[in-house]
Formats: sequence, C-alpha cells, structure tokens
Amino acid sequence: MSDVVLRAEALTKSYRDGDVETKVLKGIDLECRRGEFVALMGPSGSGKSTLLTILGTLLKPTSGDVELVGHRLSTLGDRDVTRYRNRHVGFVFQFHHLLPDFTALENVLFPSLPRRSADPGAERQRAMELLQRVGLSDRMNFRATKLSGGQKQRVAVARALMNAPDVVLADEPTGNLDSVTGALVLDLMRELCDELGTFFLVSTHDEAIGAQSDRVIRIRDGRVVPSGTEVTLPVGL
Amino acid sequence: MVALRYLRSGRLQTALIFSGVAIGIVVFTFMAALINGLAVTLTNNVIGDLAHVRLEPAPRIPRQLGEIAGLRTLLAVQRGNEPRAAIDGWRGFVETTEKLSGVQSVVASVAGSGFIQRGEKIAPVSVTGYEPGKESKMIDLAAGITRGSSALASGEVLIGITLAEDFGVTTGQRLRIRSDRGRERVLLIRGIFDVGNAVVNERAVFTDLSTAQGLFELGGAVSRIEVKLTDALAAPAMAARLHALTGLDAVDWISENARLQEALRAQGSTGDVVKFFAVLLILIAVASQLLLSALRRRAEIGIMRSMGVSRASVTTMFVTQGFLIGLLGSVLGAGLGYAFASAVVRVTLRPDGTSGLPVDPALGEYWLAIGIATVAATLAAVLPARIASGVDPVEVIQQ
Repeated sequence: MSDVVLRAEALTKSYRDGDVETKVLKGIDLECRRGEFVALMGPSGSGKSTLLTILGTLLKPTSGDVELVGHRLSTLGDRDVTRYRNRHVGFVFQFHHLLPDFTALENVLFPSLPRRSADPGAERQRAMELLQRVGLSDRMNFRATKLSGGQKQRVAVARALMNAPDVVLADEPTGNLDSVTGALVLDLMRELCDELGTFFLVSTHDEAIGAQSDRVIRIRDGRVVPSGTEVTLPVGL
Repeated sequence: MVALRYLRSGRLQTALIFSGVAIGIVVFTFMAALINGLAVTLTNNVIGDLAHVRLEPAPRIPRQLGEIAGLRTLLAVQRGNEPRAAIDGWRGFVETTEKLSGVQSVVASVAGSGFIQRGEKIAPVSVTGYEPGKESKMIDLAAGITRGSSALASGEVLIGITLAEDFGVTTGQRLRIRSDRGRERVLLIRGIFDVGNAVVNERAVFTDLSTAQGLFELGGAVSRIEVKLTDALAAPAMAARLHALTGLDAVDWISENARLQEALRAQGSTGDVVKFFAVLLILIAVASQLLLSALRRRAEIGIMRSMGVSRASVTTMFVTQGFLIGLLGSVLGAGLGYAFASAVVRVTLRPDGTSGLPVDPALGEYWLAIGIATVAATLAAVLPARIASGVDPVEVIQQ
C-alpha cells in the first residue's frame, strides 16, 4: 500500500460575484504521506482555509482533483464523498465546535454514528481510550459547556481521531488558546501523529508550529511557495 | 438519539411545544366528544321511541275494470276507503327477521286510531297493541312506568301520565276505547307511564295484541312488524334486505327523518372545521418550533455534516423530532381531553343523573386525533428538516 494518503493536483478555486472573478487557489500540487506532521503556513487570505476545506472534501475545486487514500474525489457522488469524509478525514477547528448538549464522551463518539457500527461497545471503548489519551478520562461525562477552552480543544482532537482517519486537517487549532494551552494541544497532536501514523496538516500562522513539523508548506496568493524561496519573496506578491 | 437529546436539552421550548400540541388535541377531542355526543343524544331523542325499520303490508289498491271495446273509460281511484291492509302469517316474518345478524329485537304490532271516553270527556288517541311480554321492546315503557305495571294481559291498557291527569283516572280504573273501525272495548288501566315525550304521554295508549286486533278487525293479522337494530345507522341497508326477504314494504327511520340527518351532517361539518383549525394550529406550532431549532442549531448541523453525517441523517433527525412531538404531545392531549370532557360531564350533572351538556367522553375520537396529530407534526418537520440538511458546513466553519 502506498504511503501517500492525500494528493492534490493542479487545484484551483475561483469565486464569481457578477462579472468579478476572484481566484483563491491558482494551481496547488501537494503530496502528503502517512505519519507526516505538516504545517500549512501563509498570511491571512492566502487560501489556507480554502485549501483545507477542499482537501477535507467539504468544498469542490473549480478545477484539478484530490486523491484521498487512492480514490479520486471527482469520480464520487455527494453521498460517497460524505462517507469518505467520515471514514478517512478528521477535522480540528480553531473554535472547538463541540456539540454543547452532549458530553465529552458523546462528542468523541459522534463521528462513529454514521457508520452504524455492529459493535457499539467497542466504539465506546475506543472513545474512552482516546479521551484518556488526551488526558480527559476524568471529564468524560462532563457536558461540553462545562469544559475549559483547552479541554474542549483536546476533546476536538480526540473526536477527529475517533474513526482512525488517514488524514487530520487542523485549521488554526491553537489560535483560540493561550500560549501554554496551545503548546500542550500541539504537543498532543504531534505525539498522536507519531503514535498512530496519521497524517496531520495543520494550518497556522505560528512559526513555532512550523519548527515542530516534519515539513512546512507555505502558500501565498493561492500558490505553494517553492521550498527555500519563500523568504526572498517581497510582501504582496 | 440526537433527536431525543435535542428535545431534552431545550426543556422549556419542548414543554411549550408539547403543551401547544396537547391543547390542540384537547380542542380536537372535546369537539369530537361534544359533536358526537350531541348527535347521539339527538338521534336517541328522535329514534329512541321509534323502530329502526318498519315492515308494513303494501297498500291495497282497488282493482281496475278492464277496458270495454268501443267505449272510452275514465278511471278514478279513491284512496282511503279500501279495507285496512294487514300482514297475515306474520309469525314467519318475525322468525326470519330475528335470525338476521344486526337485529336487536322484532315486535309485531297493531296500530290504529281511536277515541277514549270517560263520562262526557272524549279524546283522540293512537292505539298500539303489542305481543305479550314485548311491550317495552320499542318504547321503554317499563322504565317509564310511574304507577302500576307494564306487563299487559288481555283487556288491559297502559296510558300516559298526561292523559291520565286529563281524564282524572288512575290504575285499576276502566276506560272505554272506540277504534276508527267503530269497535268499542272497555279496558282496565294496568299502568301509567311517563316516557319524557309530551305527545306520547298525552295521546298514546298501549294494549295487548289480541285486544288491538279485535278493535281494528284484523282477526289474527298485524298491521306492522317493528325492528330495532344494534346499529341504527344500518337501517337503510337492513330495510332493503328485509324487503327482499319478505316482500313487505320496509321503511327505515333515516329516510323518514331526512331533516335530522341534514342537521347532524351540518353539525358534524361545523365540528370538522374546528378540528381542522386545531390540527392546523399544531402543524404551524411544530413547524415554527423546528424551524427555529434548525436556525439556532445551524452551526452544530454544519459541524455534524463536516464529520460525515449525511443530509438524509440530518433530515431524519428533524423529522424524528416532529414525529416524537406529535406522538407524545397528542397522547398527552388525548389524556387531558378525556379528563376535561369527563370533568365537564361531572360539573354539568343534573339531579336526575343526566348531563347538562351532551358531551360523551367515550366519543372523543382519541386514536384518530393521535394519528392525525402525529402525521401533521411529522409533515410539519419536513420543511425545517430540508432547511437543516441544506446547511453548508464550509459557511458554518468559516463563520
């Protein structure tokens, strides 16, 4: 089995407002491997979030294609894409986006619901183990609203890993946390990446995260900046 | 699970929407109990003293002369002076009718007009003669007896309380009766009744079959056979069946009381309009509640979609909420409706044990109400469900 879990080929994304067309992505090529921890960096408006949502199958590119664990998404229907997203992709958002009416354990279990597992007990066990792994075994039955910001984000990380996805996409996962808590969450993701062999793509402005990553993909004006040239580009290009 | 949790989490909203559905169902079931109870009361008042089907002999028409060759013939048929039509061999018809399913009781009777006389006082009366022991099968005379007994022997008569007061007579005294055939008998007053019907109390007298046959010169024949059914509304069909079986004219109470049927239909339609608005109220309440929920939970729905929850699952989640609200709310409402209707009956109870309002809690159409409300609430959830399933996760995440 190939180590490549996610591949983007010549991705473009444009939005049209009347006669005005805004090109957000202008031809992105990427290849990501199992067990890699990659930082996606770039200034605001550079297209990081758009790229993440396309890679996460939430948004369709204007042209180009995404290959997720060997399947070209452009060949799949809406229902299959939803199924693929559930099975192969986990998300961590800047704002935890936990479901407030559910406990930490139920939030982690949530991604397993669409799969209708034949063994709900095993799913529950896995969710408990994940919560234990992120240091929240004593908060499993707390409602999401009763958790601190850092705890919520750790629950979000556990939730992203519930279905043992091949890819976790994190959009500014520490952006809403203080520096100490943010560092803890980042360390946790890094450890889980190493332990589980899951590919992590973390969108961030934080150079410290880049320093901890296996690789940094820099994006500017909708294009990937070739490695080694990014520091020489004048601002605004 | 999610649908239930959402209902449980917004307790105040859930309590309000359940109350809305329940109140709608209370209105629905109370209207049904009132309209149906009124229909039963009216129908009983009209047909309580009537046979549901009456078998009568076909009227006799004088035979016409044949045409005489070469002569123009003008024929006039004068009705009313022919001999009284009667049913011979009535016992066979009674036995045949009694064996049919849906028949409650069958009574052969002789009916005619006459006068009663005591001293100088004379009053017109309708005379009915029943088979011995069957006096109370059509009109419940036994229950209405205020003095004496309803069991008639030959030469005895039962009279109404108004007639007894008019004539100043009581049980054990005698009355002279003359039929419209000119026959006279002096009959012993066996009992005095009050059936709650002024006309019957003032103008009807009941005697035994043989006495009536003698008064109206019928020999061993009867003038009609009266039939009561277990379901009064089946009367037209039973009449047609009896006519086919016996060859006698069969008259059902419904065709003879068309105006009552019209009134009942109009009353039923009025009730249906009120019930329709009650269901509409439920539909709007559930739709607006779930629409609000869909908008309030937009972010959560977007996150669910990003986690791979399909549009169909989101739709199911909302439709399930509508179904649960409709089912549980209407069951609650049906219970409250029954309790309310029963309370109204108790509060309006008269000293004689009858209710001041013709409400019958047993006729509240509870299962129908639960069924309609559940379907309506489920349908009401479809629009909010469509809106919820259309939430774009990207939009939610970017906000």
